[in-house]
Amino acid sequence: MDIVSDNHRSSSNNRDLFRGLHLIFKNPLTTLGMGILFILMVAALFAPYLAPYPDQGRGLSNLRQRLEPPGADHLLGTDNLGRDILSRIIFGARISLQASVAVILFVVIIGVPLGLVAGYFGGKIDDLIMRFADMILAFPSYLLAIAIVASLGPSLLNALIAITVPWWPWYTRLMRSQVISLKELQFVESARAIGVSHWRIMFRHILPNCLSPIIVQATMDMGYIILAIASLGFLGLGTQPPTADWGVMVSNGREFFMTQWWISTFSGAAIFLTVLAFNLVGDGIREALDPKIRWRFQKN
Amino acid sequence: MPVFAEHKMREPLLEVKDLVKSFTLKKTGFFQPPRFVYAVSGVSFSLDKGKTLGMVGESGCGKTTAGRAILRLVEPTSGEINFEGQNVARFSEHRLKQFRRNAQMIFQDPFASLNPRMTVADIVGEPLLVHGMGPKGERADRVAAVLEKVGLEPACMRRFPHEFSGGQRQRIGIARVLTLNPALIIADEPVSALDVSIQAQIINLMVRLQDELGLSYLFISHDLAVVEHICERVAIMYLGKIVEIAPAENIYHRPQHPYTRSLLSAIPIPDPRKKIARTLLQGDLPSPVDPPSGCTFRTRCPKAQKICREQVPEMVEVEPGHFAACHLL
Repeated sequence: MDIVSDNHRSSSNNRDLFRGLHLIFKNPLTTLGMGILFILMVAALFAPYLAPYPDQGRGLSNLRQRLEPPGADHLLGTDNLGRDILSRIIFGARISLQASVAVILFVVIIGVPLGLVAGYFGGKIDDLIMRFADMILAFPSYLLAIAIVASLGPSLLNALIAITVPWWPWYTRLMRSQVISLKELQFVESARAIGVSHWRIMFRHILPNCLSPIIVQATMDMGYIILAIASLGFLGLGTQPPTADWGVMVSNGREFFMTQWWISTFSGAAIFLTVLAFNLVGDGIREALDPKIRWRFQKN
Repeated sequence: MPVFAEHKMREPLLEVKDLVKSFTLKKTGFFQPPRFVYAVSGVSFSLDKGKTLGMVGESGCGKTTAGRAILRLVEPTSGEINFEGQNVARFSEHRLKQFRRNAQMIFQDPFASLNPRMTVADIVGEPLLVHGMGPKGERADRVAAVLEKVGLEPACMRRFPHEFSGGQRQRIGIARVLTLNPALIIADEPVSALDVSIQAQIINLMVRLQDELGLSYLFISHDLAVVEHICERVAIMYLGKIVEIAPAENIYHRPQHPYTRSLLSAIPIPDPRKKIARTLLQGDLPSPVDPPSGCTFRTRCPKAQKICREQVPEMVEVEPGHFAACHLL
């Protein structure tokens, strides 16, 4: 018997999916994004210990120190109810991160299996799912979200539902296109030849091979979902006061913007930096997971 | 009963009769009738137990589609596929799954036929899992035994396909197929994606496995030189039809059909001084959407005559066991 000695053995023995993910730290912009996200997560986790005025972060007003400019007592100033802006931003990070993770989970749990089924079976099932998805995409998404919140009543949970509904079809489309190209590959046919059931082929053979674009898309979308939550908050349709929310804070500061600029500016900056950070990290992951451009990192 | 036993011996493992596979084309206009491509149009052959039939033809002649239709990886349009005397074409889903234990396929491209996210143990053990064979503990032993049989160290079970070379991957593919102990293996160009030196290793492995396990192969290839080493009988396909089918010996030494002759003359000979009279074919394979009338080969045949345009040639038995479809025989 000829036991073959293999000379093509590659050194990496990493668990497949995240092969090459460590490479993202080679990109300085991605590292910056990861840094911002890290600070944000620490802030959200330890808000009661980090915020200089945790009670005000939770919503307690302090009318004697209304609209104070940034200074030694209040690093980023206070709002129209005398609450410390920095504390509000730190507590706001909790809402933003929790809400966007929840929306991403909803969207992936709804969108990915539908795309998998549509792409794999094709035909009538595909038509049905994709036309329904198209129908939802045909509405302007914010208008749809506003309509949903308006009918369900303004609250954070309803805002999350309202963002999920126009969002999942993107994942269905992304997944479907992946599945359609993958299901023609020989390993899928090989599974069929062996007698593997459709469900096992879909979830064991196809799904694990199309996760990387989903992960990239989900990371990028985290930022946009935070933006959407803030937008609904700004319109008064999301988080309700006195809970700290970045969008609500921007909206609050609007009437004082000409003279007391710090309220809207700093909360707006928090939104901006978070969205930017998620985008930078998403780009980094995409580059690291894409084998076609991975060589750029490996060369140096 | 010796008589019965002898009868049993002669019954072919696989008998294909008038297999047809057509695909519907997209309509070009709303009022146009639907058009069909006949990828396989009336293929018949039989394969005995423990033997190898080579199926040769240029790309696009329908040999791969024929192989896939036999395993019902694509649904055959019409025809009979008798496996151990039962018509596979009419099997229910349940019977089909049982049939898949007995008939398996080795794929062409070892870089595409193994799931990159599964370990070797999962890939080779999956057939056992899917068919519910053996408890979990025994499955690993079975996988190790099969890997050893194809010449891989059982220690490589925890590794992923990308860590192996092309030849090793093809061995993994063969191991995956062997776990179920099939009787029939359809090998779709199993070596054409490999280096020449590796090709020989895989062919030798397949021959050895056939001797040990009594496998029957349907060996699909475009390479007559490879087929010569492994096949007892060879079928030559052109545009969805078998034009000549004979024992390998006859095909290589007394080819009858003009297409077979030109294919044979195209085999490279590793001697630069030797002059060979090549029969070069003009033009390309005609489109199967609109095949030529009469003999489909006539558009490229050096000896085509009037009758070739008008009548479809019948299969003629030139010698015992040697059939060819040509008017000029």
